[in-house]
Amino acid sequence: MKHTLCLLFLLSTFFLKAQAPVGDLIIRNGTVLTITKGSLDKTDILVQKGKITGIGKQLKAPAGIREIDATGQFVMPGIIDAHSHIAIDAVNEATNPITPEVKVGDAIDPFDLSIYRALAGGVTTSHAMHGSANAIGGQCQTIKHRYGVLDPSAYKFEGAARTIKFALGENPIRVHGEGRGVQPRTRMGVEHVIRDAFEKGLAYKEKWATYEADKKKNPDIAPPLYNERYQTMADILDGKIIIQCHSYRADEILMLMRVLNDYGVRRITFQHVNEGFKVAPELAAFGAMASVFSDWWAYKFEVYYSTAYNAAILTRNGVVTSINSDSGELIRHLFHEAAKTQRYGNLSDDEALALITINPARQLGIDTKVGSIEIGKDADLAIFSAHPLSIYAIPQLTIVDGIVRFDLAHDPADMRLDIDPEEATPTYYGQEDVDGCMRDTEFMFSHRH
Amino acid sequence: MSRLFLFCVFLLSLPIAPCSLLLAQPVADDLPQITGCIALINAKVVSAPGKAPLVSTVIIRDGLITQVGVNMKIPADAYRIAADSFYVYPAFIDAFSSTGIKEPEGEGGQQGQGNRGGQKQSFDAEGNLPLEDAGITPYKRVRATFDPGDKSIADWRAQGFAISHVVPKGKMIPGMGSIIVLSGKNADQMLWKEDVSMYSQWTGAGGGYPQTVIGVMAKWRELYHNATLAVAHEASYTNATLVSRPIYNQAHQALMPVVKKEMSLWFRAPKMKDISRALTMQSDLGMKMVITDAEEAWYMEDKFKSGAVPLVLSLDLPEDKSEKKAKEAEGAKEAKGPEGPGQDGPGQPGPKAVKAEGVKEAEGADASATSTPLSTSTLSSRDSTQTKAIAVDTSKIDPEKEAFEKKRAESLKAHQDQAGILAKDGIAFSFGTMSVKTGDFSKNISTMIEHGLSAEKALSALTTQPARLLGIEKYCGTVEAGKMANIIVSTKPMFEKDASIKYMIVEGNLYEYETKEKKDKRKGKSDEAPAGILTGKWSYAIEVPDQKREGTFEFTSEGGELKGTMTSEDNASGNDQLADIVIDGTSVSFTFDFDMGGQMIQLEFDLTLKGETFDGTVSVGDFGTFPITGNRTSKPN
Repeated sequence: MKHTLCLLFLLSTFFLKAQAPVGDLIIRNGTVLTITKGSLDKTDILVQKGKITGIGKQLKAPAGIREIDATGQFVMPGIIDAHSHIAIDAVNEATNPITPEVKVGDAIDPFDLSIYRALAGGVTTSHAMHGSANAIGGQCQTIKHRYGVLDPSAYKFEGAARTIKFALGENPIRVHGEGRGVQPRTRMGVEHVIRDAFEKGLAYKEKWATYEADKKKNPDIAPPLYNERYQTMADILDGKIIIQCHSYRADEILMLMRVLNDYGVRRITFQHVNEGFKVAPELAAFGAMASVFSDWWAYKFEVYYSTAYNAAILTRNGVVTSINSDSGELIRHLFHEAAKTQRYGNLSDDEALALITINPARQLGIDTKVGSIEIGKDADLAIFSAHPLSIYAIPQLTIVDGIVRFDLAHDPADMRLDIDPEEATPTYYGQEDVDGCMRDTEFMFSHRH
Repeated sequence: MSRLFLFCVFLLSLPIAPCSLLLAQPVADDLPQITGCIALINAKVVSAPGKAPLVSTVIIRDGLITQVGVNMKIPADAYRIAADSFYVYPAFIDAFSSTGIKEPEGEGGQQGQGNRGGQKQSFDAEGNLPLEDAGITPYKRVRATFDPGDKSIADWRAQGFAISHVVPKGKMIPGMGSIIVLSGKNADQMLWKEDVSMYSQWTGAGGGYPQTVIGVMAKWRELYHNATLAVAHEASYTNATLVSRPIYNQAHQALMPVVKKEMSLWFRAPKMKDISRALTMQSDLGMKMVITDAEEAWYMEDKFKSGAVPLVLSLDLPEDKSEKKAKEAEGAKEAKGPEGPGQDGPGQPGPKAVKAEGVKEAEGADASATSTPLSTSTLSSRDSTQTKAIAVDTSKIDPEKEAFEKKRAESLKAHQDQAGILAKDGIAFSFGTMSVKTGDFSKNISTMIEHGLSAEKALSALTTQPARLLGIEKYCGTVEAGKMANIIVSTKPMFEKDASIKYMIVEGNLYEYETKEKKDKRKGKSDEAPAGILTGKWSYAIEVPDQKREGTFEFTSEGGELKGTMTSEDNASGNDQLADIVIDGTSVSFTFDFDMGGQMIQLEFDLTLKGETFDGTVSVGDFGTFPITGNRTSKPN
């Protein structure tokens, strides 16, 4: 039995590996923005089997390999969006204040046109997140934008860290307190719901530890009930999952750090974190990371107060910071969003670009694979007509695992993969909610806001 | 027809001669056969898919086929059918359906409509719904909601079905499936093998956990894990001492046969993503699975090649909207040109699908890694052909719309080609009727055959394949001595145009059907069917669970064209016009479109006129089919 399981596991990993296609190519004579090792003029990048195998001048390339001339163009690592909700069919399982057991990776939508749009903005990887309806939402999924591949599981970023959505403040209060008449009804309630979940996770861990110990004495002893929800809480307690917490206000950010401190949990990235600049030293001391908008706030009461200097202040305080989109539209021009930190905060080119490359990679536990141009890393690359922090830069080519997934020169008008045979003229695709985090919660409210 | 009436006929005919009674009433719905023996004499018998028709005589006794052969002695008590002009086939086996199943009480059906909006659901301390409300009822049996008198049983029998694998209605895990025989007086007679399968689908509870597909998946993982623990605990309790008594959760207990791989999980997965998610679950958890009601299996053809996960295809096909439009336009300017898109003819291989094509080539390109952009290369090449095609036409056409229309037509074709392509590629599949209307069955089979499915494969997907899948191949699926007497007697070779069923024999019970030469159903004007039987005012009542919807129809005939209106308090939208009114003998069908809170819903009426009254069914979009009755309130002027 065990052997068959093992074998099955091996086969399935093999299958997965086989599913993610990789390519070979060479990019000639571009300005290479490595992010971690400075900029290199007139440099070639050799890609074999989806990995970067050479960086240098006038590299020798295997015969027949595809050559891309990047003369006068800029090559940067594929952009990484640390917070988005594209390419998934379900965002919120909004029926319980805590649903750590659900995984948006189970609902990948390979037909979502937003994936192609993201590629058109140089974005090769995004963090498809559960929404913010629940105090503890579901597990998120880091995906590679392999648009054109139909197997949903082939989008999963192999080896990415497990991540899970937490949410503080108005959203869980609105959905559960106001919408369903259950805890949490206030910010105090949100804290309690999270503490309670950790307590239950601890109790659950202990119950199973006792069972495993007793089982050694008596192998026939009755097992406790398995609970996917509290098992996931136990995994967070064991440091196996990075928390990604939707948050705005300084007080609630401090609150969660205190809670995590009480339970010995260290791995966290705060999302949105619009008042992060107020508690930047505390975030840095905790080792917490931050993923922010460049200049978006005041779209609801709890996020009335913020600043476009947020990313720069956090960066200068030593917090690993990224800029995210949380939107199928904004994801197309994250390079603009990063550039704003030069206007607001005077970040250097490398610092600004790090906000959308190596820093989000760190937050998602994929920094050994992507986020910079280095030998051995995945060939996820974006080629721009000008420096990507210039307002005149236009993305030309986007490459994932050595395969060109977007090419401005060959950009057909209709990139849909799934066509409804009964629908002659497609209706508008990719309708964007103002608040993507709250998708799938509409049924909770009898009237819209 | 009332039982009493039939009983009177029975009594009256009895003294004369039993044989003539049978002749008079071979299809008495509820009556026992007078003789248990039937002889189909000198029929052209196709004993199994792929077999050539052989002139033979089939003797049936007590529900079994006892002899198939030539020059045999016809038993004296046999009811003799001179079948020399008929074709005999094994009757169909429906691999997946809801034939005879009522909607569970007090639920919004299987689409997962929430029962929020008023009544409060009861949650436990963990915020979970009771199993019933959560749609997790693996312990439910077909018997509980099976109605032996349900109209669908006779309807599907009339289409050639003798056996059906039916499942309960519900949400995430509606319950266990059973195999029924489509003939019998009560549930005991009709339920043949109970609890043969477990049925699940990606349907959330509506208003409670699990609501979304991610909730359903997480819940499945947890249920499966706990059922696995329960199996182990049960084994310990049986074999060891000092083990506390297992106290099972009803759901875990019901899932134990699935964990033990004694029962397959039938996952209803129409679309590509549904299929792929179900297959992922199967490989993660390791249960035996059947993918069922599949509409888009060609996307993942490779995953079915090994046969480890059997496949049941839906018999539903998308509607060809463009054809309709094209025909309307044709009528206006009197053009010719036959079908519409997808008339490449069955023989041509053609592209497999918009998607499959794009991606297969693209991935091939990936492997060689010399290509230009991925899907863009194939798509752009298609683009250029599009432009050429458009260039032929004139400036009036919107090129963008044309391009959309072309892609849509390709997608339609991919759906129609599915069965043929899978069959050619050697993938075994069965057919199930779950999502198809009775009236569309033969039309859809014909479409699939036009699109490359061989009649032989079509027949095997309706007979031997499902028999094997359901483990009843010893009893059913062919016309051979010893098999259950499930037989179709057809006027022509099966699936041929104008073929119609003359007799159905289901476990030895004989049903006769009127076989009119098929008339062209002409819209409105029909010489054979005088409009007078319909015109005038009628009142109607539709029986929706727990309530009656009432209103009136008024039909008029102007210059041979039928028109009709529908008046009802429920109808708040402006439209009151009935469309597509067709009279065929005493059958009347028409449709009615109305706006339900921004969503267009089409009601499809199928009525049988009985003088001054009628009965029939209304199907309401995805919500289901409901009985309708009515009577005439005024004659035409």
